[in-house]
Amino acid sequence: MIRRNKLVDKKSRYIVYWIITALFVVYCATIIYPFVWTFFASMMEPREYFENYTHFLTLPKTFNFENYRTILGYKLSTGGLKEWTMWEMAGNTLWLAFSLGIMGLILPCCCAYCCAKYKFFGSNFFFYYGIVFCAIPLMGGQSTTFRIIHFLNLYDNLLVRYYLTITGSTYASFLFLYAFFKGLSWTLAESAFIDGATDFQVFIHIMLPQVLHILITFFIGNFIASWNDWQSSYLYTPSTPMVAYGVQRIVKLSGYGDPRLTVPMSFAALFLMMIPPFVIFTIFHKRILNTIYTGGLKG
Amino acid sequence: MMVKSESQSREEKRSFKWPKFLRLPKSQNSPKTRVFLFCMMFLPFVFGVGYDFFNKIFTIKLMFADESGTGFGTYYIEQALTALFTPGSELLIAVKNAVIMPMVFNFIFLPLQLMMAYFLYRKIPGTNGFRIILYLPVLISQIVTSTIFFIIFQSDGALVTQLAKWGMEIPVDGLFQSSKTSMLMIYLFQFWIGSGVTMTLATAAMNGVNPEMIEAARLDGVGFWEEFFHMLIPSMLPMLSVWFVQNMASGMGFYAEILLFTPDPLLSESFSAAYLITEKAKIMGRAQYESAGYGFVFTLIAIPLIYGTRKLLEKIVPDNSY
Repeated sequence: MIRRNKLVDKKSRYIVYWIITALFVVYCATIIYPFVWTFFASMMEPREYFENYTHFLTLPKTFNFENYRTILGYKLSTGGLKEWTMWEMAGNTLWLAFSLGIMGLILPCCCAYCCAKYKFFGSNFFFYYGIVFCAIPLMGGQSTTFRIIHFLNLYDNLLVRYYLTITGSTYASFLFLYAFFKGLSWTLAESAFIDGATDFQVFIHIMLPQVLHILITFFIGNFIASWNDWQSSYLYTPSTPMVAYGVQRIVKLSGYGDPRLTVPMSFAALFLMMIPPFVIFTIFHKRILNTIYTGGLKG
Repeated sequence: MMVKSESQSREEKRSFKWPKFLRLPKSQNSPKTRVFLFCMMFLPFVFGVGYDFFNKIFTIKLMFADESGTGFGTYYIEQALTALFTPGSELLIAVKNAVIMPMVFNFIFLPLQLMMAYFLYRKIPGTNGFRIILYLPVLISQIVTSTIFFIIFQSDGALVTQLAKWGMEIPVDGLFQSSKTSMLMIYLFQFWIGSGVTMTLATAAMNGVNPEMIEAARLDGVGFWEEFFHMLIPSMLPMLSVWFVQNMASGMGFYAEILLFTPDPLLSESFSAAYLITEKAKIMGRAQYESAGYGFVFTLIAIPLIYGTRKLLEKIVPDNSY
C-alpha cells in the first residue's frame, strides 16, 4: 500500500498512483473476464448458450456440472485405433510431463557442471555451440525432422516425441546452469577429493544440493510447459494425444464435427485443462516468481 | 643428473599417454575422472549437440538440392526467391509480417510494458495481486487462451457484439479473417499473454538498481519521467537489448495463433515463416524441399535482422554480453 511521504511525495504524484492503479484493475479485469465468461458458459445447456453467447456476461440459469461430467467420459478419436478419455489423456500427459521435467534437468545439469568445472577437449564447444550455432536462425529444420522420422518409420512414435522435446529444451537450462556452476566455489570439492571422494560423490553430495532449488523451479516450469504443449502431439504423435491436443480436437469437433459434443462441453474441457497449472502455480507461485525476479536482477 | 631406475623406466613405458588435445589438467588426470566425464557428457551430447548439429547439416543439404532432390543444386532456393518477389505470394506476406511484427513489439509493446512495470516497481496498491494475475496467461496452455480469445472476438462473439453496439465498425469477414485486422488480433493476443513475464522481469531489473541512488534523486525532487528515463532505463539497457534482439526473431516464429485463429491464412494475410515451413514440411516429397528453400530465404532475412540489431545495440550498450 502506498503511503504518501509528505516530505518527498507531491499530492499530484499520489493521485497519479491511484489513477494508474485503476488502469491496472481494468487491464487485469480484461485478463480475467474471458476465463470467467468461459466458466459460466461451460455450465450452460446448448440452447441457453446459443441464446446468450452474444451477451457481455450472463450467469447460467443453474450452476450444474453436467457438462464436466459428460466431457470427462467422452471418448475422443485422433486417428489411431484407440479412443481416449480426458482421464487417459491427462495420464499420458502426467507421465510425459514428469519424465520430461526430470530428463530436461538432469542432462543440462550434468553437461553444465562438467563444462563449467572440468577442462577437457570440447568443454568450451558446448558453451559456444549453444550461443553461436543455436543463435543462427537456420530455418527449415522441420523438413529434416519429418524426413528422418518417416525414413526411420517412427512417425507417431512416443519415443521420438520424447527425444525431440528433450532436444529442444536443453540449451536454455544449460546456459543458466553453466553460469551458476561457474560461480560456485571449488574449494569444497578439493577438500572432498583430498578426503578420498570420487568425482561422482562430489557432484551428488556437494554440488547438486547447492543447485537443487533452481532445479526444482526449472522442473516446475518444464512440467507446466509439457502439460500445456499441444504442438508436439499435433506434429509428431497425433494418435497418442496429450491433454492439450485432445482439448484442441474437442474444441474443433464441438458444434459441427461430433453431435455428441456441444460447445459448452468444449468450454468445460478448456476449463478442466487450466486447473493443474493453476494449482501448481498457487502452491509454488512464490518460488516461480522469485526465481524470475532473481533472473531479472542478474539480467 | 637424475638417473631413472629400471622400474621407473618400465612404468613410463607401460603408462598410456593420451594425445595432447585429450589430456586433462594434472589435478583431473585420472581414469576415474575420464569415465565420469564420459558418463556425464554422453547423453547430453546425444540429445543436444548430436541431433541438433546433424539436423542443421541435413537442412542445408535439403536447401541445396536440385529439382529431383537427389543432387546438388539451387532449384528450390530459386523458386523461393522468385516467390519472394511475386506480389501477393505467401512468402512475401510472411516476410512482411516477419519485419513488421518485431517493430510493433519493440517500439509499441515494450515501452508500454516498461511503463507498466515501472508502476509495479513503485508498488502501487495491489501490486502483489497484479503480478499474479498478469502472469496467469503464461501458465495456461495456448490452446485455452487462444480458443477463449477467438470465441470472445469472433464476429458474433460477446465482446464484438458489445463493441458494435458502441459504434465500432466491424469488418464483414470478421476480425480474424479480414486482412486489415487479422494481424492486429495476433498482436493483441501476443500483448495479452506476453506482457506478464516482460513486466515481471522488468520490475525485477528495476529492483536491482541501487535504492540509495533512487532515494537521493527523489529527495532532490526528481519526478516520474526523470527517474524512469534517466535512471532506471539506463540501468536496464543490457536486459533491454537482449529483449530487443529476441523480439526481432518473434515475427518468424508465431505459428499456433495462425492455426487456431485463422481458417484461411491466405485470405487474412497472416502467414509466418514457422507456419509456412512447418505446414509444407509435414507433406512428404517435393514440399519438404520447398520448405527448406523457404527456410533458406527466411534465414537470409533473419541473420542480418538479428545480427544487425545486435551490432547496433553493441554500440549503445557496449558492455553487454549475450
